[in-house]
Amino acid sequence: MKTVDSIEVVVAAIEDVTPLIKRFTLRKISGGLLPPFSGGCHVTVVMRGGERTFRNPYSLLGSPRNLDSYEIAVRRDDQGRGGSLFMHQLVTVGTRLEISHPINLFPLSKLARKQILIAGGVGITPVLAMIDDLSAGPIDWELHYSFRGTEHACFGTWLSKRHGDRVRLYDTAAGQRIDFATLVGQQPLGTHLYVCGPSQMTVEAFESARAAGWPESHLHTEQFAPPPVGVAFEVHLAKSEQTVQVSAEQSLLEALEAAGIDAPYLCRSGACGRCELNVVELDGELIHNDHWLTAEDRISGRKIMPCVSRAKCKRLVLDW
Amino acid sequence: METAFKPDESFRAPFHYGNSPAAIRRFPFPFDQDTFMYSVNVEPHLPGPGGSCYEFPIDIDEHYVAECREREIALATTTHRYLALPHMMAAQWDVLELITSHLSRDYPEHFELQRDGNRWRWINRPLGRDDTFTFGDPATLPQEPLEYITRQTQGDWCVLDQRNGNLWLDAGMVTTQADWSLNFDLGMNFREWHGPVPLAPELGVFDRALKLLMNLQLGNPVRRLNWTMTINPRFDTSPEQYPVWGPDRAGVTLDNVGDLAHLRVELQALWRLPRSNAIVFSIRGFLMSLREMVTIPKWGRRMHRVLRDLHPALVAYKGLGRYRDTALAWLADYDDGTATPPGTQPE
Amino acid sequence: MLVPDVKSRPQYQQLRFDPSGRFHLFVGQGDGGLALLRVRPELPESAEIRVIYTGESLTGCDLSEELAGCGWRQLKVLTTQVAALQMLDEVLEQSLMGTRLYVAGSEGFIGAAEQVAARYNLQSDELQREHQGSSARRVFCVHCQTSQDDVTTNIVLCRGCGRHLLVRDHYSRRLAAFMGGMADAEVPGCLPELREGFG
Ligand code: FES
Repeated sequence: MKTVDSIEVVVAAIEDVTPLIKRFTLRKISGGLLPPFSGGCHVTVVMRGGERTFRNPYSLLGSPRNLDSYEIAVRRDDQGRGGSLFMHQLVTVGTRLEISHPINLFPLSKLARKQILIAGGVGITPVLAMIDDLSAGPIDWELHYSFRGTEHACFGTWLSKRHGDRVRLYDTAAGQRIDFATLVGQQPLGTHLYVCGPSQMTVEAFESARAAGWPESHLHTEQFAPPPVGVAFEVHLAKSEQTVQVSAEQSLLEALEAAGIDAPYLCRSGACGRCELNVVELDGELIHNDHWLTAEDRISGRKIMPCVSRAKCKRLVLDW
Repeated sequence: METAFKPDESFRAPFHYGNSPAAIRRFPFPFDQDTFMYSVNVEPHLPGPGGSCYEFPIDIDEHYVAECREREIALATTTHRYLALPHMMAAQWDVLELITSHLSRDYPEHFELQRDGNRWRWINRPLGRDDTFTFGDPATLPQEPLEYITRQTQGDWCVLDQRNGNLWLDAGMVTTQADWSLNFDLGMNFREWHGPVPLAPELGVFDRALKLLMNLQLGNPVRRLNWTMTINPRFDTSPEQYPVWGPDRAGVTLDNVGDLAHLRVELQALWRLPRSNAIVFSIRGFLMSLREMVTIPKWGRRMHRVLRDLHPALVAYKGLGRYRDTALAWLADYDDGTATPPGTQPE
Repeated sequence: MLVPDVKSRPQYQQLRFDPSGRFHLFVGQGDGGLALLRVRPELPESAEIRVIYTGESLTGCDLSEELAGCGWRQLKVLTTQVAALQMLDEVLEQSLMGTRLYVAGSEGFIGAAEQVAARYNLQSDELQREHQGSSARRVFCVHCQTSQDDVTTNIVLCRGCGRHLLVRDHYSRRLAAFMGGMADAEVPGCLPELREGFG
């Protein structure tokens, strides 16, 4: 099954939001409206750079009601694998890019009695579109947004102007911190908590919520962690009889794609289950980095999520 | 393809229905081999050959006008056929957009959509409608958006909300169903509403199908075929109306089975919806009598073999028990034992 | 319609104290009192616990006195199921995230309590159900939309439309009832064999 039907876009504007974050405005090359989307969506941007192709997920941050263009924010990560540097250094107004249709792996619960959104730093990006959805609906909501110094303050000020009391800002440079324990301790039944920020923040928020008795079904997060690096290994594809080398800083999925294999994926972060492949043979161990496989799956050693997981072996044989 | 509608067809007594030779050839015959068992037979809902029922994502055929009228009759004479839970309003608008934009793009001679921001004008020539409304404001339509637009389509529509790792049947327009109840099943999750289906759960079909659907992407719809048999060209075979259609089954004889027994195929297509992140599940029924079917010799032979070897649990589930032997006896005359080439195509 | 083995019945478990919760609300009806008596000794003294109970039941099993004698700090005994469900609604309205709901009783009562809980968006990881007592079912007639309680046979006469209904193992949480559909539609008078007793 062909997995991804993409949209051709052109960069219409680039804006510095902070010294590290650029906002890109994307329009359809063929003109006209882009597909509608819901708050919490991301698109996968395909960046073809020389010998390497990057596919990075970025949240859509504009209003789901404005479909002339999409907006994404990209934070430059000098230590990263190069996708964000590509966007910062090589993409200019007029650059053509390929993006996926919007995908929502961080949806709002429609049956919540109250929604609490927590954002940290650049994690505010999916939340902007979520707030757009929420402010058009009947459910009570509030946002707690923590950032450092003037960086991102612009998002915060803009949000408080529009939504008043519902938005609370915390400037960590000024020593302001979200008091998670108090926040989660007094919420009515049917409240849902959404956290988007550095993983430390998610851990802290969820730990507080669990300590206050919150069940997992009310806790939501989205993490676009880049695939972890490791050591190089070789993959053999049993059905298509191909052999592919996975380098140390490449993910297994990226290596397959680089070899021209149309492997399935959606989230590229180990969360959605779409990319699951069956292991036929292995002369070492699997390093699972996903949130998808069950404990039994892992023990069986017969499944791998190539978007984030890899193997410590000489040769891995996959059923493909 | 130029479609000549047959507006005076009737899907309830007195019945009046038939397929033109062209309609028979484009019928989505579901069996690609001589036996049938459940599988995750899901494939991308990609455009098929010109004139086929897969040419466009939403098919309109010669029965369109009559099937829309059948729906009006069902809605007027029975209750609980259209239901939507309150949190599904965004999804309702998504479905309205999906249907109007596809039909106007693919059948411009019949349908026209003019969009000026949120001000929309929808022209449906076969049904003689010309409506202007504000997208997003239900008060500007005569019915809720899902009801309004599905009254102008063939087949049933279910809208599934996605939450907690499951899909929930939270809205629908269901007037042509094969013995399941929207009113009873509304609010159920994927496993619950498939509870009555035998064998498939043991085969792991639902687990895999659920996983696949949860990952359904915008712009990448999928489809599958399902089938059953119906006595008379009757669309409303709901549990609610069982007292009306149940007796049909007991009146089947060798003389009338060729005309009374119909293969009923459901072309099921699923789309991810953009604003609501819900999924719409369209279940479009096609009916063809056995007599029409045997005009395609390959299909006649294959139907005989599939029905003969069908698993007993499926015979019971599909309600074929009372007349299967009669149908087999009739079909036997059209099965000379020659091999049928694989695939569903007519020859 | 005459499909014998539909398998979408609710699955029940034995109530067990869930230490991940902060507040614990036990709701019992009739024989469900047995479940409350059984878990009582395993409840930590420090836990914040409320109990709602009604002795009203088909089996006549009223454990109000036994429950009153085992030292709950907050126990409310009500005379009818309706009153107990009303009280549940009021308590949930005031409840905070971190609450766990435990329901024990007849299938009909559990279903009705779940309908109340759904209004507060309680998910399966916040709710436990234990079936105790009568296996009688609430049956929804798909033809006339009448529900009737306390059905103990596979075939039942519908109080709304007078048809003989075949009771299927297909359960709707929204309606809190099993599905009933005409049993002899194909050949009037030709009914499947009558069986007594569910569960
Ligand atoms: S692509 Fe989602 S888990 Fe790998």
